[in-house]
Amino acid sequence: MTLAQGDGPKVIYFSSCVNSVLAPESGKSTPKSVLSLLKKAGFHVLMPESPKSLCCGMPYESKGFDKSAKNKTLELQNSLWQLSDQGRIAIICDNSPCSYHMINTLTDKLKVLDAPSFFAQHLDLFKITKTQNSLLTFSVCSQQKAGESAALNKIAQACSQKLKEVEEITCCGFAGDRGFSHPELNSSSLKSLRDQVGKCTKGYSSSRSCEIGLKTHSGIPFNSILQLLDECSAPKE
Amino acid sequence: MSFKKFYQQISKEISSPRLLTKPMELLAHGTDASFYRLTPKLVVKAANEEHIQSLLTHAYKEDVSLTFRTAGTSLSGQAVTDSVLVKLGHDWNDYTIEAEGSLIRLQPGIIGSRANHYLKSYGRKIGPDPASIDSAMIGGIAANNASGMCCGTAQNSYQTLAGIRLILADGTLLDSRDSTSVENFKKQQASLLNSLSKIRQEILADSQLHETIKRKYKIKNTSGYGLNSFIDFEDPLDILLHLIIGSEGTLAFISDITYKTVIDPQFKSCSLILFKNIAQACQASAELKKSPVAAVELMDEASLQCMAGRPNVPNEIAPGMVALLVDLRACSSEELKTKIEKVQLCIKDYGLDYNFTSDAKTYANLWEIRKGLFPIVGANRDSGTTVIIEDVCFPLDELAQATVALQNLLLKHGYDKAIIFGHALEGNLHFVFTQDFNQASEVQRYASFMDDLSELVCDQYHGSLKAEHGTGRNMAPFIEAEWGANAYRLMQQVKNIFDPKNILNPDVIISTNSQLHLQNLKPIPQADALVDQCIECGFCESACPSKDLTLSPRQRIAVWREIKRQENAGEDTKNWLKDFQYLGNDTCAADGMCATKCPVDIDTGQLIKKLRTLQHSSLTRSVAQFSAKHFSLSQSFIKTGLKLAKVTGKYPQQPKTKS
Repeated sequence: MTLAQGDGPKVIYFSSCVNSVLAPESGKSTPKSVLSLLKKAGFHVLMPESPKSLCCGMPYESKGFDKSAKNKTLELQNSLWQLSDQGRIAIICDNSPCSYHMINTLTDKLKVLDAPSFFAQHLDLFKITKTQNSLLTFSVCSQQKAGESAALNKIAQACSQKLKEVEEITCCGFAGDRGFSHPELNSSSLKSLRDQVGKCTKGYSSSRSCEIGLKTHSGIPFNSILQLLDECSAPKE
Repeated sequence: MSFKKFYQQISKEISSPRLLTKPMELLAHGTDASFYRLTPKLVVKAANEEHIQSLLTHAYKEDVSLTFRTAGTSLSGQAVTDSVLVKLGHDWNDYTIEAEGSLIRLQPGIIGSRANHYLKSYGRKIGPDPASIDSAMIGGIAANNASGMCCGTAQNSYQTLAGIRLILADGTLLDSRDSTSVENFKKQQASLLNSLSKIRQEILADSQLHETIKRKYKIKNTSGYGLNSFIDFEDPLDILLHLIIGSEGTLAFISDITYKTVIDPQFKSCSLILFKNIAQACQASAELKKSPVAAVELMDEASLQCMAGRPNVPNEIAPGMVALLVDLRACSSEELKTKIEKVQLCIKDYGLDYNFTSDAKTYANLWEIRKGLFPIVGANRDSGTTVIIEDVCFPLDELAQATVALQNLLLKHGYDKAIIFGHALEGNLHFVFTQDFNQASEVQRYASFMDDLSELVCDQYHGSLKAEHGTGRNMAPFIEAEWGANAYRLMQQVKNIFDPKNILNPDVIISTNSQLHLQNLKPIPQADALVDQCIECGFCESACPSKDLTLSPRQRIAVWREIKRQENAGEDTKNWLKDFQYLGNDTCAADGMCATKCPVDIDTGQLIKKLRTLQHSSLTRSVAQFSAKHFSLSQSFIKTGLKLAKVTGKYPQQPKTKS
C-alpha cells in the first residue's frame, strides 16, 4: 500500500489486525479505503513499521489473558509514542472496538481517534456524491460507549438519503471472535435484525467482526462505513 | 393435584427450551429487583396465549400457583415465587398504533420507552412514566399501575386505559375491544360480573366507605386493589377492567392493553430552587400545584448533602435546607415562556433566588442531581447490605409536617443516613436507606420501623403506604391497617371472585401471613468487589446480548453471589460452577453495555473477564504469551478459525491475505 504524502497535517494510521485478516464483504478492504480517503483529503500519512505484529491487546484481555494483553498494549504504545512525536500527531484506528480499547488503555498523551469519528469531523474535505442505495446502519457497542454513534450516522447521512438505524439491539453479541465459537450468542442477540432490514440493500458499521454476524442475520452485506465514504467521495476541487 | 402432574402436562404442550429446571436457572430467573428471594420450581418462557391457556388450565386442575413477570423491575416482591414463574419477554412485542397516535395497543413484553419511541413521530407518549421506563415492560407497568415524575394521578394506567385483552384464572378470554368477545364473556361470567355489581352497591350504600375511597385516590395509591373502580364506574365490565390495573397478576393475565396516549411536549425548562426549611418548600409546592408545572421534585437536606459541591448545588448545605426541582414542559417556546411567567408569579412572595434554564445541558445536569440520589446511596453502602427505597404518600396540605415526622421516625430507628426525596405535587415521598438482613437484630429493627411507619402513614396522616411501587409481599400485611376492616373484606372478596382457587400470585396484595414482609429476605453475600454494589434492579438486562440465550448481567451476579454463599457455607459448588461455565461465562459478550444502563456503573463483563483470567492454566497462559509475542503468526490462527467456520457453513467468509 502506498501512503499518501499530502501537504495537509500529519496523521498516523493504525490498522486493526482484524481488518488485515478478514476480507471485506465486498469491494475495497477497509485499510485501502482509509488510505484512499486520507489521500483524497490531502493528509500526510504515517504508519507503524511492522503493523502485522502490533495489536491493541483486546483479544487477549477479553479472554482473560491480562498479562499478554498488557504486553501488547505496551508494545503498541511504544511504537506509537515514537511515531507520533510523543503524542503530537493524532492516531486513527479503523475498527471501533480497537479504537475504544486504545483510548482506554494507552497513555492519555496519545491522541487516538476512531476513524469514523475522525472522518465525520472532516467531511468538508471531500466532494460527496450520494448513493441511491437504502442503507442500514448499526452502531457497535464500543462506539455507543464512546458516545460516538452520531459519527457513523453523520457519514451515512452525507452519503445517502435513505437511511435506517438498527433499533433495540445494543450489542450484536459477536464479541470479537466469540461469534465463531458461540454463534448462538450472536443469533440470539440479532434475532430481530432481519425484520428491520425493510428496503435496505446494504448495511454499514465500524467493526469488521461484528459485520460478519450482522450480514449473516440481516441477509444483506455489511461493510465498514469507511468503505462507504470512500465510494461516495472524491477530492475537493 | 400435584406439581408433578402439572409439569408432565406442560411438558407435552410447551417445548423444552422454554421450560427451565436447572437449579441455577431457577435462582437466576427467580431474582427480581425486590429484596425478597423465592426460588421457583419451574420457569416457563411463555410465547403466546396458547401457552398461557395451557398453563392456566393445568394450574387450575392441579392447584399449582403461577406468577407472571415481564422485566422484574418491581420493588415490593410482587414478581417472585416458589412455585411456577411465567416469564414474558421478546415474544410479546407486537403493537398497533390507532387513531393517529391517540391510541396504542401494546403487548406486555414491550419496554415502556420503546412504546414512547413508537409514538414519537406523533408527538405523543404513554401516560405512565416510572423511573424504570427504560427497562420496565408494559405488562408490569399496567399490573402495578406504575407512575413517576410527571404522570401524577391523572395519566397512570388506570386513567389512560382504553381496553384490555385478558385471561381469567379459569381460562376465560376477554377482549374488551371486541363486541363479540364482550357479549360471550357477559354470558359466561354473569355471576362474576354480578358479584362485582354487588360490591359496588355495598360501597354506595356505605357513605363512610365511599368517602374513604374517594379520599384515598386523591393522592397516589397502589396499596391493595383499586377500589376506586367501584365508585368510578357503573358497568361491572368497566369495574373489572380497571380492577385488573394494579392487581399485580393476582386477578388475571394481561395479554395486551390499549392506552389512550398523552401529548409529549418537546420544550422543557427546569429550575433548582433552594428553601430554608421544609415548611416553606411545601407551601411553595401547594402554590405550584395551581400553576402549569409538569413536575416538582423535593429533595431533603440529607439528599442535598449527598450531592453537595456538584454543579448547581452549594458546597455547604445549611441545616434543614430543602430543594425543589421544578420542571415545565410545553409544545412551543412561546408556551414555555408563558408557563415560566405563570410559575414565577405563583411563588413571587417567597423572595427566592432562582432562574429557569432551557439549555439542554444544564437541564440534564439538574435532573442528574435528582436521578442520582438513589444510586449514590446504593453505591456508598456497606457490602452485604441491601438498599431499600420506600414509597409513601401524604395529603399535600400535611406534607411538611409528615416529612418532619418521617425524618424523626427514621432517626428514632437509627436510620440516620436515610435520604428523602419525592414527587411533591403528589405528596409522594421516597426514602432510601441501607439495611442489613443478615442479622436477626437488624431484621427486628426493620420490622419495628415498618410497624411505626404504618402507624404514622395510616393512622396519623391517612396517607398511602405505597404510592407507586405496588403492594407486593412488602405491604400485604399492612393493607388492612391502611384501609380498615371493611374495605379489606371487600378486597378479599375481589380476590375470591376472580381467583377462588388462589392460583394467581398467592400472598401478593392479599395475605393471611402477618409476617410475610419479613420472610424470604434476599441474602446479599459479598461476592466480588466488582459487583458487590449491585442492587439487582435489572436495568442492565435490556442492553445484554445474552439475556434471551442464557443469563443477563443481573442474573450472572445473582448466581455468582449464590455460588459464593455456598462456598462460604462449605457446600459443594462443583455442579453450579459447571453450569456457570456456559450460562455465565462462555456466553457473556463482555461488551460492557450493561454498565451503560447500571445506576451504579457495574460492568458485569469485568467480573467475567476476571473469572476467565483465574481459569487459565499455566499452559494456556504460555500459549497466549507465545501468540502475543508472535502475533503475525497468530493472526493466521484467526484465519484458520475462519476456514473452519467456513467448512461448517456458518460464515461463508473468504479470508484473504493482506495485499
